[in-house]
Amino acid sequence: MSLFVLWYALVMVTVVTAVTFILPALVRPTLPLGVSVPHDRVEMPVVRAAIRQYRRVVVAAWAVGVALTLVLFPSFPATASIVPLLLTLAIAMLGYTLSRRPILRAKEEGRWYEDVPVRIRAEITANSAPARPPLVWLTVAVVILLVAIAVGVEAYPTIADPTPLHWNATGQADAYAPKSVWSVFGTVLIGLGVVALLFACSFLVRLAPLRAVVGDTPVESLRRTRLRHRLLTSLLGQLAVVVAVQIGWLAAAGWFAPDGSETIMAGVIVLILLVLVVLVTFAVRYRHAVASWSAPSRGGRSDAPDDDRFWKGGLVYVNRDDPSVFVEKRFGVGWTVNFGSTGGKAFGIVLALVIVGGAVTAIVTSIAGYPS
Amino acid sequence: MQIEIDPLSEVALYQQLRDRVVEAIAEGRLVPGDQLASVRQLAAAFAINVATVNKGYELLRHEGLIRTNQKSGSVVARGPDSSEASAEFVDAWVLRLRTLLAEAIAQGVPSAQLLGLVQQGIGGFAEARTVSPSVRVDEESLR
Repeated sequence: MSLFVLWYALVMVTVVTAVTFILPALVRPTLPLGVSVPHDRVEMPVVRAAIRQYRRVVVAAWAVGVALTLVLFPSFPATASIVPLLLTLAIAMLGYTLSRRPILRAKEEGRWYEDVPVRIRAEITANSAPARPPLVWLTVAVVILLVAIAVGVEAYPTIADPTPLHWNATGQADAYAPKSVWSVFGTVLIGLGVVALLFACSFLVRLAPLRAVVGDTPVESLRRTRLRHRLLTSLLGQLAVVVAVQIGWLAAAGWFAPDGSETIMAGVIVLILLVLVVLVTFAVRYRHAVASWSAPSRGGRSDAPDDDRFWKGGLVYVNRDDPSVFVEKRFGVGWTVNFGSTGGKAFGIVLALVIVGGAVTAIVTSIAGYPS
Repeated sequence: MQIEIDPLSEVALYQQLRDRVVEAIAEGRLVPGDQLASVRQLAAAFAINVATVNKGYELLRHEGLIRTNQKSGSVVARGPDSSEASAEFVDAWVLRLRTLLAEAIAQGVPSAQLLGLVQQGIGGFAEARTVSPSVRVDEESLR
């Protein structure tokens, strides 16, 4: 049983490593490790070497994470499922920060942008139809949860009292509540809330701009932008379905097999497999949508300007001129906040308050000695 | 329809924005009635200051090439096939053309070549106007 916890911790470290490992392939080639370079420098040995270096660090981070999990597990199983994961991420991030430096240096010393024509490009006609929200996926997710509710209503008289509310990492129920509408259907209602949240996110995706890519023909650039938009919105929809399946499963397990830890474990395994399928499919299609951007064969066209100065540490975007609140991530998939915009500043303040508030609460509670 | 501007050029960004829109109208890539992105949308898409885009749109409005109202936003207001240019416009434009020609002649561009270039320019815009409808259809199909 406890081996399951170990297995789960190792799988998480491995999945996180795999994602960070493939990230360079999901970013357009003119942004190796988040450094802006002209398209004819993409194949430079220093660029290739930096990406290899980053990947070596990621693999090393994985080894450290696995080793630490194995060392911690016998005495501190709870710590072993989270600390190595965070450490792996931290090392990978450090690897990113360090590995991109040689590219930055080579770019500056070699004056890569000297005499390179640069352009910025945008759609000037009003965008009449932004990407549609992933209605099919969201409908599937809602239907799954509604079916779960229907099954629960049907089975209500036979559901155990008290009913399990929470399961520990080994799949054993460790919290119960007296049987009521809330304790029976709470899980499914939370699931509906999460699906609604993902639906709201898909609207945010519609609002957040995807910048046109300099170097493509206008029609090609438009096609690629649409494709990326569609892939990102359907990723949200597919995640909603995965959440619905998982929540439905958990709720049903609580109703029909409150003591069956195997049921819960099987659910977790299915969840991991589903998430993997969704992520791998997305990565393959997304890679296809970004791969040939500004490929060397498109030589002769102009480049996007060097905008490294707006990306602090290659991670945080601060551009006071840019009115966008959300901008595409420098290194990764999705969006991040422009902390130079008015909306971004407000977001930053709220975020800081939440972090400080959380830390203060944690410290106060630990001093006051409340059980967590 | 996409436009490109050079962020490092000596020509001000708002001027480039205005120039590209005028060219797109001459090429038939923008036609009267086309809805333009809002000032804020376009600034966000270019990652440039809102005031810059506003200034570019202001120039175009002043020239009567676009029209802005509260409800429908900014719309292309005229094109090659709209009413004939006003006499005032032609007078002012001739003055600028005179300077432009003077530059070429002062630098020693032969008159024959100059004439050829002007014809080529006019022909280029006319040809683009015959091609643009199909490009517009292509772009439309991607929406």
